[in-house]
Amino acid sequence: MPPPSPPPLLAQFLDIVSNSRIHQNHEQLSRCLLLSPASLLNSPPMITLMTELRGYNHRDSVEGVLAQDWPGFVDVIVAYLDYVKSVHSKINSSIEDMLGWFSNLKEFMGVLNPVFNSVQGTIFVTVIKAASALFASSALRIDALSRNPRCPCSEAAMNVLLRSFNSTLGERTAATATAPTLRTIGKKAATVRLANDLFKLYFKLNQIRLCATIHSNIKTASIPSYLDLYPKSEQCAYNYYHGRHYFYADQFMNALTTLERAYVLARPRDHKQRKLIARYMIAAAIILGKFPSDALLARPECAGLGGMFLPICHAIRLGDFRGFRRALGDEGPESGRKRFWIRTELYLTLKLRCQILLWRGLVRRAFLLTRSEQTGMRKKGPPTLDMRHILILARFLHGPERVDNPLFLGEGFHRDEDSDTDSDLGDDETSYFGLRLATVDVECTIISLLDQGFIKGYIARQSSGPVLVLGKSDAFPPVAELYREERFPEEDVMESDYEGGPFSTHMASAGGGGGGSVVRLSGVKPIGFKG
Amino acid sequence: MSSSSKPSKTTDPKDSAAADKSKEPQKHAFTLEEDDEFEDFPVEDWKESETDMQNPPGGRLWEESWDDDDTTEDFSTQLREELKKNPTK
Repeated sequence: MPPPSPPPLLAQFLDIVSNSRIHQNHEQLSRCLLLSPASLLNSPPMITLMTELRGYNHRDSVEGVLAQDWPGFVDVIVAYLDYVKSVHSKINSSIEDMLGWFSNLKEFMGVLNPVFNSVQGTIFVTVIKAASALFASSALRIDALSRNPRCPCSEAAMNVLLRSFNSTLGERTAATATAPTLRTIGKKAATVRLANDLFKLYFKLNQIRLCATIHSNIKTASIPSYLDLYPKSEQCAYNYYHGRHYFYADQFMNALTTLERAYVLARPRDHKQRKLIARYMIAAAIILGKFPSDALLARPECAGLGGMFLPICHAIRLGDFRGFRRALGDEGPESGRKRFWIRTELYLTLKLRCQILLWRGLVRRAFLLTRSEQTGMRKKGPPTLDMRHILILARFLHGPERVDNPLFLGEGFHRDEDSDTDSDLGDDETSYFGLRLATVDVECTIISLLDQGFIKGYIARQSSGPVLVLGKSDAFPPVAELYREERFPEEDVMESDYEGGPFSTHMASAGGGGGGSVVRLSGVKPIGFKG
Repeated sequence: MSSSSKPSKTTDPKDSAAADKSKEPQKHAFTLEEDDEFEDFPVEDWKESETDMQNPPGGRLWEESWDDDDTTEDFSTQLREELKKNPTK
């Protein structure tokens, strides 16, 4: 006995779906399989379809209309209609309703994924992209609203989307195409979108190390060689997350280049995205000795960033450790600064990576302040700098600020004049307070500066103590130039063998390569050197 | 010291530019509390001509020569005083 004819709108829906499959029209199929509750509830035909589906067993109709040669396709459409049935107007009214809706969406994804993984699954490439975006953003939103520290929705989304991502990598068509297009690369057309949604989840859940696998797989699939085929939105987001990952792995040159690419890919009107890119781009640039220009900070998307970054630049320029602590919010009345840097995950990186630049600035400042007395004494020979002067200034700047008005004392603000006492020892290893600066510390720092080329000169021993003998010209070359020189080999790609991160066990020892190893920086990977 | 600044609500980009010009840190604005998530773009694709790739805005992004020889500002004055208080000879 033939199955009863389906209700009119369902029949029409199934005809269009069948037609999309026959003609391999991904976009049309995606337009049929709307997923977001808002788009479903705002579409009169879909509302009618939902009404028709209530109390109706649609499986028989779907099997009747769609061909039987691909049961997986039928399963997906049946699961989709199940999902559509479950959508109602009060989905956003409570966490329980949201979780219920999310569970239905997850169920649909559970059916879609294996079918997408099949050889014929390419037809779902546009559907999977839309589903991925909705799934990731909803998971994050529901977890944020439910305040569940285990983030179950985001965890579930990561697992589901990782399976979809892996399915795209199995596509072989791109390898044979000489001039690939989004059409000819098949399922790989969804790879970047899926990767971006995974990155979003990884960053939000502080699982950044997992990005390495995604980048590695994308590289193995040769996607970077035709990344420009993808929509600009996907290219931009991919470069943003890639740049953030480089930054996380302390590969600042790669981070800057990648973030600059992301920045120019975004349109000037995309303020929110450009602002986020600019934040990390500027941080990477400062670490590499490039300060944001007036022109950059004057752009609308950079509004407010100058207020945060310029004090850091100012402190580096002068060698003002104390100003730097205030800029980070470690000291002074503006503790909100520290919250900002911590929230944006820039705090530790800036705090550790700018130290060497601050020392360079201080040595330079000490030289500028003492050169007049030298010129009176010495007529010939290269300029010198008594290291005792550097020690005096470093001790002064590493000690707590002396203030007259205690009302302006901020968190962690000390009033003791001498920080070189046991009472000032902080329990944080990177704490500025309690640094027992001695001549040997300054000497070690100078050696590091000389070794890395931040200062041109050498250390001479005199009866009064060590003296820094400076080059006659260009003793303090611009920092940015150092990172352009060939002697700094190109940063290694970290995807395959290095997962990065400030606390990674893969970190090179500070002594290796001689870079970046200054006082209390043990364990930090040198900039520009292979780990 | 000079790099200390009072909280301010200004976010005017012109202020940033002016502050950098004078090599004094800008009065900051804690107006950066919005969502830190990289939002989806409102449209999926756009022409290259709509980006800065073909129409680079005026001005460079970075200042690479930022060393300052001026030793008359407050910070240098403080350091000079500290050196005077701790003679090495």
